[in-house]
Formats: sequence, structure tokens, C-alpha cells
Amino acid sequence: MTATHAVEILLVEDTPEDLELALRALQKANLANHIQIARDGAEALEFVFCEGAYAGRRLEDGPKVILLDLKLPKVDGLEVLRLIKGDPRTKAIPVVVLTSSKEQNDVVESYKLGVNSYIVKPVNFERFAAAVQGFGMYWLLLNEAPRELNR
Amino acid sequence: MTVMTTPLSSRTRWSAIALLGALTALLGLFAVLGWGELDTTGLLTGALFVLLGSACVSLAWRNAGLTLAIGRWLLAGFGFGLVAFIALSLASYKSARQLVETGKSAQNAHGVLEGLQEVRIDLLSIQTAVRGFVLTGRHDFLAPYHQALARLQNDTRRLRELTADKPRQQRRLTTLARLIGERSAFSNEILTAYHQRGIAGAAALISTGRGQAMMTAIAAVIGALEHDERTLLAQRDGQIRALTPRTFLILFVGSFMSVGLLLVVVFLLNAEATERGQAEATSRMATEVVRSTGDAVITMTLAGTITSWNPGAERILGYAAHEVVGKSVLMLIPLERADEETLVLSKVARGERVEALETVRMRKDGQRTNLSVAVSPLQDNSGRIVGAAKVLRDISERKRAEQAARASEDRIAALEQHSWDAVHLLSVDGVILYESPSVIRVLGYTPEELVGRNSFELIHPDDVARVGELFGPLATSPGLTLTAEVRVRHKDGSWPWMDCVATNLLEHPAVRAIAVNYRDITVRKESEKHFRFLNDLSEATRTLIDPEQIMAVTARMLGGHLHVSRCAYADVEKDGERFSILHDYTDGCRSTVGSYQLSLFGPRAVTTLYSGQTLIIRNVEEELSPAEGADMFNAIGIKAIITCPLIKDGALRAMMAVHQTTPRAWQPREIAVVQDVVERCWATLERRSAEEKLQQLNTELEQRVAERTSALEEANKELEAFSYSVSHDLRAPLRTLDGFSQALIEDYGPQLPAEAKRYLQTIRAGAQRMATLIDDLLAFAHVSRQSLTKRCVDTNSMVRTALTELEESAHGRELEVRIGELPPCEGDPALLKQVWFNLLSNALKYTRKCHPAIVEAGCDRDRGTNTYFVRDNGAGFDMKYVHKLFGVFQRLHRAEDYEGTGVGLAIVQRVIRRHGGRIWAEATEGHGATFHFTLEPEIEL
Repeated sequence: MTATHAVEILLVEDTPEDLELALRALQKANLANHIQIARDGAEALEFVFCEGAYAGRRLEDGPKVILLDLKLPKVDGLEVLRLIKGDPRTKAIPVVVLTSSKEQNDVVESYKLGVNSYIVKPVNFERFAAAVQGFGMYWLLLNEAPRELNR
Repeated sequence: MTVMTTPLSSRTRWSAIALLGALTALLGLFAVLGWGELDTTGLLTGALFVLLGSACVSLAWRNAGLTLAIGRWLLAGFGFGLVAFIALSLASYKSARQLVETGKSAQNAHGVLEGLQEVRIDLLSIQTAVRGFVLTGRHDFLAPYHQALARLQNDTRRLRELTADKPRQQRRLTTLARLIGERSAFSNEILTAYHQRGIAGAAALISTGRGQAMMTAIAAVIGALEHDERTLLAQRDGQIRALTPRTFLILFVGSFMSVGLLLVVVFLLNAEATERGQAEATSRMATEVVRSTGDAVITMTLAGTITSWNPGAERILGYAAHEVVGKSVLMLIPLERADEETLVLSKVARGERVEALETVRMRKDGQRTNLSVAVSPLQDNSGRIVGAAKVLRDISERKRAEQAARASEDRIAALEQHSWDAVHLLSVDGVILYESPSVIRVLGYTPEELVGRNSFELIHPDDVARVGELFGPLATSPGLTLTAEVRVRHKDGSWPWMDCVATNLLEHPAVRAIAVNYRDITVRKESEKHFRFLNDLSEATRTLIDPEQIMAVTARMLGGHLHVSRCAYADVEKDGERFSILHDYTDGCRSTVGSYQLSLFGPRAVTTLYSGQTLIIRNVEEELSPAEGADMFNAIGIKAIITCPLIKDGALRAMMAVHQTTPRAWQPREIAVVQDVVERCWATLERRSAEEKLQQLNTELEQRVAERTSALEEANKELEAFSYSVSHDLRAPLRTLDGFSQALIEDYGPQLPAEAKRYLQTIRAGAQRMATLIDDLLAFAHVSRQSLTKRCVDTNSMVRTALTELEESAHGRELEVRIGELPPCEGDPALLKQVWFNLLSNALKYTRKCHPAIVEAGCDRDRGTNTYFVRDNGAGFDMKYVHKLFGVFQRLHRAEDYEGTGVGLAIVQRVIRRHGGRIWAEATEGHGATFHFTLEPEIEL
């Protein structure tokens, strides 16, 4: 687990209970070291694009993966996805949609916008934890990010 | 009755045979006289010639058929030929025999010469052998000596036999035998001397020279013998050389002659047979002709006695041959014609022929029959007339045909007289040459009134030009036929329409005119005009929508068609009294547009029209009194009227009226047109009104549909928003319930009592079940909302895929899957897959406790509809609850036994209904269930 220090996950989740459970699942998977939390779509965008409260941040500093809920206050999750994937600077960041919705419209729309994974949050916590662990391993450890991101 | 006479040429031929025979005989005689002896070959040749000669004579005798004198000559010739053959045979036999004898004698001489040579050699051998023994003392030298001795005895015996017929040679042989004996004795003496005194004794004997003297004497005798034989041999050779060619010549001549004779005989016989075959064939043919001809062929004596009777006679006259042969021919002749037969027979007796006499004969059944008779005389071999041959031909058919032709002519004349068609004949200028009597019915004229007039004078002035154009080419083209419909002046002044068929028969020898057939087609023309008008009217009003316009066009067209002063359609109000005319047609007189009361037109008009009858008035002033409405009609300037009412559902609804400002004799067809038009006009107006109403209804309906659709869309949108919200928001709390219960167990598990942990697990299970229910409910809602995309679906592979996915969950179970024929169908692949998946997973679920579990999928074809089914042998259900089977969240089993939310079958039913199909189930509790479904509306029978 040498790469663990470099992990930086942006978790965008408004429901406190779900947030807590997601963090719990990430901790169980030893992925909780560098987690940034955004509670709505607007905050997520500010963080990613280094604006507002995050103006001091450098765009190059991450995150390495974004876990995005779709139903968010202020700016809707799909909109967040659209802006990230529509900007050449950020479109290489893997975005994993993590949502309660099984609606086909959401799935189709997400993939159209360029989502990298789409995970329906199961009610069963064990399965939820397993899913989080699965994608965390994949996107942070196994998947090699494009070069411009590493630069 | 065949008389066979041998033709003259045949006599000549047989005479030739006789001549050839004679020549052969001469040659044979000549040969015989030259020689004295005969051998076997000669005898055989002779026998052959005898046979040939006999055959020739016998044939000649049989076939010649000559007078006796000629026959004798022939016989003599053949006898002569026979003798010649025998002579030639004898000669050849003798010659050959001589040759053989001479040859034998020569052979003997050769034998004697050879024998003498052998004797000489043997004597030398004896001498040599004795000397050898004496000189060497070896006994083996003596073997040739003994052999030679034995041979010498044989030789001398054979020589005697060969020369038995020659005494001088016999004498010489006796001498020879004696000398040989002496020589042998001397040799014996030498041998004895050797044995007694040795070689010296023998040598003394040899040296005496006795032996030598003996040998010289023997040689002399042999020389004499040989000389005689050689002389004989030379003599014989000379004889053979002379005899051989002569023998061969005789044999050759004999063979050649016999072969030649044979060929001639064969040729003659063949020619004779062919000739006879032809004669017989001719005779057979004649007999066959007589037998098979349809004509009667009878022969009779001059006295009239019938002698032969053929099948034709049997057919025509009815008597069989045995019934008439030998009887008098008078039995066939009617009494009044008896003289005729006498006359005929007397003519025949004079050698004359009677040709084609048409007469009558009695048949066996007593009927008279018309016949044509030919009679010719029959002669015997000497040319004397002995009878008559009669040929009778049945001409009753012809007679009948002639009668029929006469009847037909009469009929045609009668038809012409009474026909409704007329015919006239025209000259090339159109002048009437002939007119059939029926013209009076067609045009009112008598034929006399028309003949001599030019037909063009009768043609309607409007048609003259058209007819003239046709008449020109017709008059110049013989055989041409043309048709035309022409108006022709009737004597009463009317112009009826005629359908004319004209044919140029100017070159027809019996006619020499243009024949014109014509008939009145006025009625047809009028009805054509009537229908054409109605058709035009329909066409003109077909596209009109405005009722007023329809009425106006109808009135205008009917008025024009009938050439009336005014024409109007009136709409009657519901009270049946008031009516209004919105439009009318006038030829210039005043319009009647306005509103009226029917009663004003008088009681006659009211009663007639109310009863549905047409009001017809030809002259107002003559037919109506002022009180009856004459005043009203006069007021609007009307003298003649047709008014047709239209009654529907018992009430007067409309009227069509035509007016004339002058009295008019309405024709029935004119009245009929008005009746037809009012009917049609009303129908058109009704249809328009119905169409208008329909149009209105359609518009309203479309509007309602649009409203409903938008409401439905609204509802759908709300439902979508609802299910979206359910999908997201209803599940989040469940996750919280489950997640934190789990966190509690994980973090504080050790401190919690077991009961508390069980409660937490129950909370989690509830939350998860709730989540499942939400998922299923969403899926169900989704099925209703989703649009159908129909395609051709490969049911077979769909079912197999679904089973493959499901069988993993059934791993380790004793399961038998049967897949029958599954034809492809039209449907939404995603939704249909869900149907099969749900039904098959149900089948697997409810057979969980069966060993073995049997799951079957297939299809029945029922009245053209594919009915798919899924069958299992599982838990089944009670048919009492079948109505609940497809309801949402309805379950027929307890959750502990078989898990589930009760949505699967509801989804299945929803999908099938959306495809237009139907699903139903049959089951027995504990014995399995079958689900049937169709995917298209079933055909109702």
C-alpha cells in the first residue's frame, strides 16, 4: 500500500447519514486518508476548479477521483458531471457516480456526459462497503491516470 | 365368283422350260453315247437330274393350264429333258469310274516296283550278314540275317498278290522265289561249315562263287519283272492324262446345266407366285369393297332372281342375305313401280347400263326408302349376259335435306313477313330496290311506298352527313359490313332510332345490292340517355358540399335535360305543410324561389303528394278546376306539371317539380327521370348532412383525444417525477436503517445482549425487504411507462438464454428442462425477455421441493395464433384464487415457503397486455402450474 498517501478522493454527498456510511465504508477499505468532502454541487465545483473558498488550491493537486451523488442541493450532480467533463483541464479526472437511483434516464445521461463508473448504492451495507472498496481499488490503485494529470 | 385364267405369258415361260429340258437331254445323250462305264458321282448327279426333271414336269403340268395338246408338247419336252439328265449322269459316272480304275492299276505297278526293290535289299543284307559273321565270328552279326529272311517271305507273298492278274509276272515270281530259296540254303551251308570247320571251311565255300552266280540269276529275274511293270505304268499315265480333262468337262457342264435349270425354275415359280398373289389381292379387295360399302350391291338373274346380297343391302333394305337370295327382286319393289324393274332388266338384257335412277324400294319393315340405282349387265366367261349387278344408294338423307331447305326458305319468308326487324336492299346510289314486308311495323310504310325512293330522304337531317361518310366506303368495298345508329323518319312523323347493319353484297350473285338490316332501338337509346343523365348528375353533385348548391345544380340539369320552363327542388318542413324553394331553374320565366304552403295548390295536389304519388298534369285548364288549384298554377304561369314527392318515414320530406308554361304531353320516361332525380337529390343531401355531422363528431373527438393525451402526458410526467423521487429519496432512509444497524453491531456488538443483536438484524431485514419492494414497484411502473419497440424476436434463443442465467441458481438440483418448438414472434425484446425470465424463474422457484423438478417451455398453434406456455410440476395453486394471480403484491404462497414480492406476474401480465396478447394460468395445488400467453390479438371465429 505504498501509494496510499497520494490518495485524494472528493466525496460529494449531501445526506449526512449516507456521508457517514460512505466514509465508514472507505475507512474499512483503507481509502479514507485524503478525503475531501463537498456537501453540495456548488461546493464540489469550487473545489475542483479552485474557486471561492478553495481559490488557494492548485488545479493540478487533484482530486484523483470524484465520488458524486446525483441528487444534490444547489447544483445537481449531473450538472457537476457535465462541467467537469466539459472542461479540458478536469475532464481526465475519473468520476464515479454513486447514487440511490436506478432510473435508466440517470444512467444513460451520466454515461453520455462521460462518467467513468455508475454505482447504485445498495441498501445492504455490506454490499455497499464491498462496492466502495471495489471501485476505490480500481480507480486509485490499478487504473493509471493519463500523463497530463501526473504532471 | 372369281374366274381364274392363266395368262399367256405364263404359257410362254413354261414352254421355255420345256425347251431348256430338251437341250439338256440332247447334251446328256451325246455324253452317254461317248462312254461305257459309270461311277458313284455319276449316279448321284443322274439322280439329281431325275429329281429336277420330275419337279419341272409336274410344275409345268399343274401350272400351265394349257389345252391338252400344248400340255403334251410340254410333257414331251420335259420327258426329253429328263432323259438328257439321266444320260449326262451316266456319262459322267462312266468317265469318272474309268479314271479311278486306271489310277488303281498304276498304283499297283508302283507297289510291285517297290516290292522288288525291297527283295533286292534284303538279299544284299543276307549276304553281308553271313560274311560279317564268318569274318568276325560274332553272333550279333547274324540278327539282320534272320530279319531279312523273314521279310523276304512277306515280300514275295505281297508281290504275288499285286500281280495276280498278270500270268507272265506270276511265272517270273515263282522263279524268283525258287532262286531266293536256293540263296538262303547256300547261306545256311556257309554257316554250318563255319561251325564245323571254322573260318577256313566257310571261306572255302564262299570262294566257290556259287553265291555270286545265284545273285546274278536273281537280279535278272527282278530286272524282267521291273521292266514289265514300268511299261504298264507308262501306259496307265498316258491314259489318265487323256481321261482327266474329259471327266471334268462333263461334270462341269452337268453341274452348270443343273444350276441354270434350278435358277430358271425358281425364278419362274417366284414370278408365278407374285402374279397369283396380286390377282388374289385384287379379288379380295373387290370382295371387301362389296362387303364394306355403304351402298347396297345386289346381283340377280335376268329373270329377277336375287343371287347375291351384300351387308350394305342388308342395312339399307333391312333383309339379311339368306332371306332374299334365291327370291324374286319384285319383293323389294312397290307395286306401282313393278314396270320400272321390267324395263330396267330388259335394258340390261340388251347389254345397256342404267345410271342414277332415283326410285323407291320397300324395306323389310314396310317403310319406303329413297334410293339411287345403277344397274349393269353381268357376263359369263363366254361374254353372254346372264344377269344384272345393281348398286343402290340411300338418298333419303339428301331428300330430307332438300325438304328441310325448302321448309327453311318458307320459314325465312314467313319471318320476314312478321319480323320486327326490317331489311332493305339498296342500289349503289342508295335507291331502295327491295323492302321487306316487316317495314310496316318498323316504320309504318308499306314496301311499295318505299321501293324506288332514295333511302337518304328518310334519314334525320342531323345524321345524313354521318351516314354519308359511312356509305361512301361501303358502296366501294364488296363484302364490307358496317353498323350505325341512325334516326329514321317514321310515317307518323317521329324519328325513331334504328340500329342498322349494312353489308355490301353488290358482287353476291344472288343479291347484287347493299343489304341493310335495321331495327328500332329507340327504347334502348332513351334509357341510355336517361342513365347517362343520372350519371352526369351524380358526377356534378358528387363533390358539392353546400346543400343549396346541390339543389341548384340538380334543378338546372334536370330542367335542361327535359327542356322544361322551370325546375325546382322543394324542401318540406317538418309540419309537412310549408315548403321552401331555395333555387330553381327557369328558361326565362319567373323564378319561384320563396316559401309556400302546400294547401294553396289545391286538395288534389295535397292528397296525391301525401300518398307518395306523382302529380302529373298535362294541361291545367283541362284537368283542374279553379278550386282544385288551377288558380294558383295560373298565378305562377304554369300549364303542365310533374311534381314528385319524397316520403321518408311516412312523412313528406321533399318534392321535385318541373313546370311548363304550355300544355305538355309528358312521356313516361320523363316522369321516371323526375322520380329518380328527387330520390337521388334527397339522398345526396342526406348524405351530405350525415357527413357533416360525422365531420363535426370527428373534430370533437380529436379535440377530446388531444385533451386526454395532454392530461395523460401530465400524469405520466408526475408519475415519472414520483418514481424518480421514490427511487432516490425513499431508499436513502432504508440505507440509513440498515447501515447504522450494521455499524451498531460491528462497533458495539460485544456489549449488546443477543436479543438486541437479533432485533437489529430484524430491522435490517425489514429495511432490505422494503428496498426490494420499492425496486419491484419501480420496475412495474417502468413497464407501463416504457415505450414498446417491436422487432422480430427469436423466442427460442431468448428462452435458452434466460434458462442459462437461471440454471446457475438451481445448481445442484435435480432438474429436467424441456424446450419444445418456439416460433419467433413480434415484440419488444427487453420486455419479452422479462416475461420469459419471470415465468421461468417462478417455475424454478415453485419446483424447488420437487424431485425431479420438470420445467417445460413450448408453443401451441391454436386457430392461427401462437400460444406460448411455461409448465412446471411444482407447488401449483388453488384455482379458487386464480383471479388474484396477476395482481400487484398479490401472493398465493406464504413468504416463509416461497419468497417474493408479488410483482413478477403483474409485470408479465402488463407486458403481454401491452403487446395486445392475453395470459392465463391453469394449476392444481401440489401438482404444478401452466402459464399460457399470446402476443397478438386472437382471431375471433
